[in-house]
Amino acid sequence: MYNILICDDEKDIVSALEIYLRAEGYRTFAACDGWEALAVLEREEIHLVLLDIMMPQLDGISAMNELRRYSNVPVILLTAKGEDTDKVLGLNVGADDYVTKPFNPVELLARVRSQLRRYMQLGGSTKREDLLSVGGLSLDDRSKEVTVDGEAVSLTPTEYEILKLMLEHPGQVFSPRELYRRVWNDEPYGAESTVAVHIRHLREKIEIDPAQPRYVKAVWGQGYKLERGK
Amino acid sequence: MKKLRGSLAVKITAIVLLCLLVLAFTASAVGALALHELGAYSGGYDSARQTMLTDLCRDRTMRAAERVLEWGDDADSVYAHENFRFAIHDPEGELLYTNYDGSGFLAHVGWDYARYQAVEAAPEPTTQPGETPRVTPTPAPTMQVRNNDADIMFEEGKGEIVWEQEDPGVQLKTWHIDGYIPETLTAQDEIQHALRLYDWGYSLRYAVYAAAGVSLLLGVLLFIFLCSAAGHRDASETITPNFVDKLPFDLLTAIVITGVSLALVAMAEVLSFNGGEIIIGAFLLLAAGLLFLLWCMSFATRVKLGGALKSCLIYRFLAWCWKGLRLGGKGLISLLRGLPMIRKWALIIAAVWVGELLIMSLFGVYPEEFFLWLLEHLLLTALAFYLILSFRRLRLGAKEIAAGNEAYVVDTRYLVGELADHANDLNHIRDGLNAAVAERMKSERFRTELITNVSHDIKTPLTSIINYVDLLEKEEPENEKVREYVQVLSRQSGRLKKLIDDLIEASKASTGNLPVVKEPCELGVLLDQTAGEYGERLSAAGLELVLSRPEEPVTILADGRHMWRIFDNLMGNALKYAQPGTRVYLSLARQAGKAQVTFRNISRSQLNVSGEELMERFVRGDSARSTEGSGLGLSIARSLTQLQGGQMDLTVDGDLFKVTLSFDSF
Repeated sequence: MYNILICDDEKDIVSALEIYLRAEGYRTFAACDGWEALAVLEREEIHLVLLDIMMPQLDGISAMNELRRYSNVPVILLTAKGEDTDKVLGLNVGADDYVTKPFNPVELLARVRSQLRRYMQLGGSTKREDLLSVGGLSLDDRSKEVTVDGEAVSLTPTEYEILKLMLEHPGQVFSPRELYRRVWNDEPYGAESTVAVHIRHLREKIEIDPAQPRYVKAVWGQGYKLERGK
Repeated sequence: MKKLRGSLAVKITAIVLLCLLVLAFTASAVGALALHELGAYSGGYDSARQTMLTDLCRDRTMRAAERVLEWGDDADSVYAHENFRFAIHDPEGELLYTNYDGSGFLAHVGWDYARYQAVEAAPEPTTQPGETPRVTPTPAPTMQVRNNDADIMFEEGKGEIVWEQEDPGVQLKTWHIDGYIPETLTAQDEIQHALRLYDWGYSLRYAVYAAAGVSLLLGVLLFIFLCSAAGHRDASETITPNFVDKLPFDLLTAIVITGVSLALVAMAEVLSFNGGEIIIGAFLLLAAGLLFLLWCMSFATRVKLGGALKSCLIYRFLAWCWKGLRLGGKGLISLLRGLPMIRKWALIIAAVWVGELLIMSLFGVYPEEFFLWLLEHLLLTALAFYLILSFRRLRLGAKEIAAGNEAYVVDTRYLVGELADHANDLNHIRDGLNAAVAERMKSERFRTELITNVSHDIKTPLTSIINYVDLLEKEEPENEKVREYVQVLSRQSGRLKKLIDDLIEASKASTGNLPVVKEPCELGVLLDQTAGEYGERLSAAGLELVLSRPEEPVTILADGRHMWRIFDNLMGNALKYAQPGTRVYLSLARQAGKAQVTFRNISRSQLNVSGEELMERFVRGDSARSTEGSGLGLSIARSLTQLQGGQMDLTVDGDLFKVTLSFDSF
């Protein structure tokens, strides 16, 4: 039983989120502005915060600045602002993830699960040599197992090879041609778009929102890369 | 007529005919004139004949006096074969010489021959009749006698005398001569000939008028024909210049005028020899006429061709001079323009000073005038420099304002009157411009902000709507209709979400309110990535994606995320609007330093809007708006393309929908 604080000035959104989260078996606390949220955080043991940015009194960014002084609790920002600068700002001041309004409830629940798993279960795990991991994504080359936030994902051999190559070189951009050469061990005569198809399938399996990937990202016009962990 | 015009033979015939007509006209006109002079039309045959004979007799009488008295010719032998007789009496009234036998005569002329003679050296001519008189006149070396008017001499018996020097030893003496044309003409001489000619001419005295008129008329007609035919080589309307027409027109004119005048002068010379060389005269007249005809025909050709003036040497020379002057003037002007303003005007003022000083030194000037001049010019020069400097300041200010320098203020110190007003006005203009620009910027920003803010405000209630619709879907419905309605709500709220996102994106892209990070972007890779993302979805929609691209990589400088958004929108468009069962072509090409990506597909519904209209916001190919989509996809794609320095063209050809993106290749 995890405790989740929902902080939004819009009562209807808070109640909707309470319905979803309770259905998943979480305990929820509600707050309608930054001050209230901070008060709840002091009073209760909270495992995750869903925090709206635009609120009266104390806004989400300021509230997060405040709570980060004493708490390491995962924070998912809820924001109506879709701008990249807002997202970057939010992540920089200590948010763990963000969801833009209007959000898909299923996606939000997946992100909540992901954050809780990492915070509660994987936090203290020891580092192993043959375990390749970035963020909540890890690949065990001995057991050929891939887990995302602790949940096992089944990949085809090609997808596995692609992910392994990218995990070995996080942050490096691989062109489709290079990926083909190194994964298929062959010259890609006009088969480059095959790579793109496999990448898409891979993304669909390991990403919560394949259109907004957290790990395997497309660098359009150049290739693909695995986002280096935060 | 057109055929005749082009034929050379016809032209030559016409020229020959024209020559003959000119001769005929000249002959008949001269004849008519001569008959008129003699009075043949007014006085009748006898009177005119008498006039002619008297004229002939007078000519001979005067010549005889000269020949006998001045030159001392042997009268017997000279006049043996002429129908002319005469008698000379000396100043004292004694008969000096005669060959006249006193018989009847046709014409008689008496004439006084006057000349000056030294008194002491008076001639003593022998006076025996029948002998040749020996007259040895002593010329008076210091005197001139001019008896230039025979009629006056004849009527009044004295000449016009011009004395250069009084000389008492010299006297005016008068000899008297009587000339006769005898009744019986024995010799075949000019008189006989003239009488025969007169008889013939008199019988034709009215016919010559007709001949002159007819030949003149025919000649003019032929002349007109030749002029109109000039330049035609065949029946067509084409004008072909010959070598004469290619000569400069003024050169030709000069040649013709020289030739004609030479010929006419020569003709006058030839004819002045006492009626002698009529044939040669006629040829010279014809030569002059032919030259004139040549000129006229050439002129006609040139008029038909146009540019008669331009072919003139003088015109060419003047045009050349004008060109040279203009070139020189332009050079001078550009030289002056190239100079900085102050130096330029200093140069001009210096030139005026030097020029006026030069003129004064040439014509001379009084010292006090010079000092006045100096004072005036010093003052004027100072004023001119003040004006130039002030103007320069205004000019610089205007330039800065035109270039959009918001902070520039025109310095109004030392400026007076209108100059200061002008500087102030310039400053006001700048203020106005600044205000307008700021206002515009503000309104642009305000618009984008408004759209963004409104969208954010819409998003919050929309979140609730989507969430509660989703919750509703999870509930067990009381009846089937509720489930159906909830599904509609779910679909439409999803659409509203997309629409709002697109609206924000379109607003930012069109105002350039988006950061663009340009990096090398390989379009071939982007094509593959696009194929990877869309391949399966297209197949599911019954569409086949056909890729084509060159072997070598095509790279441009662009922001990959924006490029993807463009491709995403265009492919999404194809997915939504392409006719199932057709192919979607995505091709890459490099053309003239440009990288071109072309999207082509066959539209499912009929497109009755133009490509330009389709790129407008909220315009969709299907007027019924039954399909999903915000109508902003193409507009966003175009704005993003332009934001990255590219160009997006859309053409609709029947059902073929074609979008071309072109970027400068890297």
